[in-house]
Amino acid sequence: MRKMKVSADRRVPRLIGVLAALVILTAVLLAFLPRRAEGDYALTLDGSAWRGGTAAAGRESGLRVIVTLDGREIAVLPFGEAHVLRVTLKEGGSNEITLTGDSVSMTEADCPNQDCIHMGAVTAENLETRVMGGFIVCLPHRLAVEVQEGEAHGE
Amino acid sequence: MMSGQTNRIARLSIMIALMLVLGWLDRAIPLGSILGGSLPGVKLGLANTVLLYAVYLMNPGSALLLLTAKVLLSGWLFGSFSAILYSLSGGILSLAAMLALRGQNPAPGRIILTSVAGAMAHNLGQILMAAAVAGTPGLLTAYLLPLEGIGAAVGCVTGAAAWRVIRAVAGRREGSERDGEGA
Repeated sequence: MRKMKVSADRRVPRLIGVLAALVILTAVLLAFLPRRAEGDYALTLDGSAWRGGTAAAGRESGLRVIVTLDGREIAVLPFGEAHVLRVTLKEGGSNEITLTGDSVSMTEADCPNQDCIHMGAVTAENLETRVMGGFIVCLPHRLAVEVQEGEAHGE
Repeated sequence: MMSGQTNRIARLSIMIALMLVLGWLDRAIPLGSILGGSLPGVKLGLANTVLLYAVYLMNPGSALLLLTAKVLLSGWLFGSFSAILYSLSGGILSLAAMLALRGQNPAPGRIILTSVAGAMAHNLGQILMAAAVAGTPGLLTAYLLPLEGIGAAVGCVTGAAAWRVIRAVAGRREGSERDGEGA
């Protein structure tokens, strides 16, 4: 196979400058993502309004379900109890997370791509083997559900 | 006789259009669902073949132009503001990796290596952005390995495809080689 000549690259410094500009552009775009605070969402637990926080009923240890919005923890529930948590965003958009006692899944979401629903359920058995680990994430709503080993919680 | 500048604009435009079509085709193949329904954002990355062509047979500035144009246009046409964010971060890392690993001569092994690096860097960029957006750094460790594995496999495919094009074009260009422009 003959060697093919390829033109030498002489414009590295300018290229690095442009790449840096792109990185900065990305960072700026990222900064425009609204970060939601206390009043921008509403929670209902099992049908009734809930202020969020930790409802881990003073269990010794075991798996916990941690719900975060924009990276901020808004709810912690014990994995072993059956609950239905609804998150409604003030800007529009809602998600429903169902705990059955031995699994957690996103049962309803009005995001455009529905990836969070297709991620399926997290169970104690598949926690290690599941592709996404203990995560169910709704990226458009920046909502994340994580199943984690909990430390002892004094409530 | 067409000026060099017109020539260049025409070529780049065609390549951008090609990338847009390939990007659309990408979305028509639900790789994430095929592989088990729990892998969001897994794509074949067919547009990368065009980028590889640009990396090897054009100057880096043109490759950068192609990437930026494709990300902005396809994000605007087919996706959302968020799509632009993820594609941009993935694309920047991908292009940087491909340019770094390019080497001087486009041998088939080299091209595939570059393609794999580009695909893996692209996925890394996307996960980084997703983790940053959702505020879940744990997402990185959970999702990284399987996504990179698929990225490597996909990179081989796109690299092999790009190799055929590069070989055909570069071979024909042997006699009249000019920087950034072609026969």
